[in-house]
Amino acid sequence: MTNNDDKRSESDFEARLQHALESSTNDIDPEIVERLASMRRSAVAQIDQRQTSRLRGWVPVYAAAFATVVVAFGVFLFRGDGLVEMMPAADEPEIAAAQNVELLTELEFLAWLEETATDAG
Amino acid sequence: MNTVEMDRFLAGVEKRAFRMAQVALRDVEEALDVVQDAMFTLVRKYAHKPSSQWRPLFYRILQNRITDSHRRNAINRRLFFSPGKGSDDEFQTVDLIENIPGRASAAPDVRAELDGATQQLQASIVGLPRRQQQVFLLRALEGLNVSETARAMKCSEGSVKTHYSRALGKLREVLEDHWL
Repeated sequence: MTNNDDKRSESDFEARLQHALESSTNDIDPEIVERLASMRRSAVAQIDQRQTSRLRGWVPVYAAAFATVVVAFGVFLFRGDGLVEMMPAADEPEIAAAQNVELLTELEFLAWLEETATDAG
Repeated sequence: MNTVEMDRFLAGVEKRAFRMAQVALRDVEEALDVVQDAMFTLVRKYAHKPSSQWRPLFYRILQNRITDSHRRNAINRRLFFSPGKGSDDEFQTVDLIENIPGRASAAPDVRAELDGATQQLQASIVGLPRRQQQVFLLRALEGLNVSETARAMKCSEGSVKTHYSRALGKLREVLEDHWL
């Protein structure tokens, strides 16, 4: 037998071996096939569980950050002069105008009193 | 992390992995434990790796678990003087075809089928020294190339080629008369 015949014979034998091996994997007991499938499902389910718990792990961090922002904002808002400084000055001219009218009215009253006193006197 | 892709990958390898473990450990329950362990470890530690790396990683984990199992069995044999399942390096000459589960109680026509080429091959592979056996299965059954097999077995590519060549030679000696 030549070298080429040897090689061909060896590769034929190898091919037969591979074919027989493949057949043997199709020959597994159905109960074992089902157990393998069940193991696989359990293993893959771990991926979802790990992803969910990884997201859940961030919730306290987000909550703490949000709480910090809220508290800081509240402290800033409710400082004593802060509130006043924050209030818009839009009402001031109106208040001033109202105060001038009152003053004017009072001055007219005082003037009338003068006149009345002079007439009486 | 793609669960569908991982599911598809594991579905593609689970039967062959079981066969490999069963041949190495000669025990169905141990083989199932080892395969389950390999699946869980792959998912837990390496699911984030590119899917092209899963196959050699999975078989590397499987080989580690098989080795661990062998070591435990060897320790138990020494401690409890139990007959065990044979050493790693001897070629077993027990008539393994006679010991195929279910054969003794099977009907004659089923027995004839069980005595077919596939069963002869399985029995012969079981008789190989463990390293040759595992290299042979990774190359011939799983289709890993020499480099991938070397990574899975934690040995050199030269060792892979040597083990494979010796395994083929032994199988040919045993099976040629039956198959030709």
